[in-house]
Amino acid sequence: MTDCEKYLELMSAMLDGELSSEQEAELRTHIGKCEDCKRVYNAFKGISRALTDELATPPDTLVKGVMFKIKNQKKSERRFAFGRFTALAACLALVLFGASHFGLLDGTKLGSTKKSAAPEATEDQVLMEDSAPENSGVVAEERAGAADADNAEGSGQTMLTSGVPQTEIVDGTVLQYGFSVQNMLMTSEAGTEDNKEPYFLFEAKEILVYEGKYYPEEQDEDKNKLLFTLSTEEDLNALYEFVTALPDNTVEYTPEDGEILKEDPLYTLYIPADTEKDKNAKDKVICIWFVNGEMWCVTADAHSPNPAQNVSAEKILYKAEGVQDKFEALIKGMKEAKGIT
Amino acid sequence: MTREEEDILVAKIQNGNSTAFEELVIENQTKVYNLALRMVGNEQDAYDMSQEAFIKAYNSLALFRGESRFSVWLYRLTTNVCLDFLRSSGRRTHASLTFMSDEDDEKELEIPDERFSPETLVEKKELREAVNRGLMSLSKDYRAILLLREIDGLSYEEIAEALALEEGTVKSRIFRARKRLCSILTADGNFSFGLTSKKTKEV
Repeated sequence: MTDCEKYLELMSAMLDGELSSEQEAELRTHIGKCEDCKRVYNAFKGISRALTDELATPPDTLVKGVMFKIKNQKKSERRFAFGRFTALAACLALVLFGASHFGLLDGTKLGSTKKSAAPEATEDQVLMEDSAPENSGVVAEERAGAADADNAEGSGQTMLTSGVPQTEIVDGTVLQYGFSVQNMLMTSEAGTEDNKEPYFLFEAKEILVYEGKYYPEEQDEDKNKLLFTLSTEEDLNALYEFVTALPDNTVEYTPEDGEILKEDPLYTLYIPADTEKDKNAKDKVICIWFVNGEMWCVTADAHSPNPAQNVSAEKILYKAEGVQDKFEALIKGMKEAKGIT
Repeated sequence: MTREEEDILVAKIQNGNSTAFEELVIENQTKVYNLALRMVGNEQDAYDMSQEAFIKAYNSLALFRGESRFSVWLYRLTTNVCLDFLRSSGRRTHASLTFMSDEDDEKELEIPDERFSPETLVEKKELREAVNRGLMSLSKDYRAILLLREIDGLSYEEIAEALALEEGTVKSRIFRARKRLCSILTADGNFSFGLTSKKTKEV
């Protein structure tokens, strides 16, 4: 029987397919000869079969229930699913909320023609490559047609594109994944280590939608054209749905873009700070332009003199094609709902 | 679903496409549910645990690095959700106190006698029920490891990775879980598994 002791554990492993073919052959020979071991092996096998023979079918409602709950989670839970993690999102958010405000070094430039990388840049690149594996399933193709030729190589190789460039074709449009708007708007840990900027759009209690530019110093209503205020759960959700459904595409920023942004934005979303939550929170604005059907957004402090001023690559929040119609439809729908002409 | 297909879906979800997650839920729901069912022992709790596991997986997908397969990561998450549930609700299965200690592992393994034969002796259904009862008598850690192997089909290597154990530990624990189950089944008077007669020396 002592021989069999050593075989018992091996039989368990053999059942799991974890033995080498030699070990297995040796063991099977033994089992063929030893009744006791044969019975134990059969007992193990019987247990295994009993466990796996008839797997229970989960109720129909399981899948639906999961998807429903995910969709209706509080916004604060949902955001973690999307953008908190990538170094890219973090570094873009860093620049968004005011490079100087957070003492950010010049190194993290996007679309920059400078090739030298500052220390942060290198670290962020490493982090980004590390997070690339999840995206490896999407095929990277030629970016022809999606970007300016002179941005394809050389100066186009920035933080933005030095991750894994991917393209996908959706409805005939070539979309380029560099970053997603969700990452941009939902990042919660912008800022430097000791100066974290709380993410704001999805935690807003209220968003004021202005037509054109927002003049922070003007009390006079005439100057600031408030279209409507989004303050109910329903209103805010409508906006969030829109934002989260935005395509993940972006077109390369070019220096000429800054010229366009000197014009007034078409809309400004004003998001008051929640000083209850954080007394250092600042009012924010998101300025929206439409250029040839592309939607451009820039985020800034509401009380900076001109959010679009000195716009550079660092401050472009988002550029996406084919969004204008949808956004206009959203605005129109909201106006109608509120009885505004 | 191949690993590649899984990776693509995961990437889509991480880039903001939440509906792609539904495919992963559908693909894995049977294994997750059965793992939970065998861990907690009743359908209602299993249902709740399954949903909780999927929702947690979705919410922490940002942290999923892709070093292991998504499904392996998901089963591990499910196991943890169930273990937490069992710990905190103070649940005790009927015989777990008896079977908690590791020394019990060293007890004799009762060798099934000649009459034993899974196909002929007992209705498969009765056997299944007995095994499931016995399963609830295992300590929850042993139960988890055996289920990950049997229900979710994870290899020793995958289990080792999922539970942060050595492969050797995984192998011996699975063996002990099976041994323990045999003993429990023998002691279970409700059916004639036929494991009773011969006793062996120390195993």
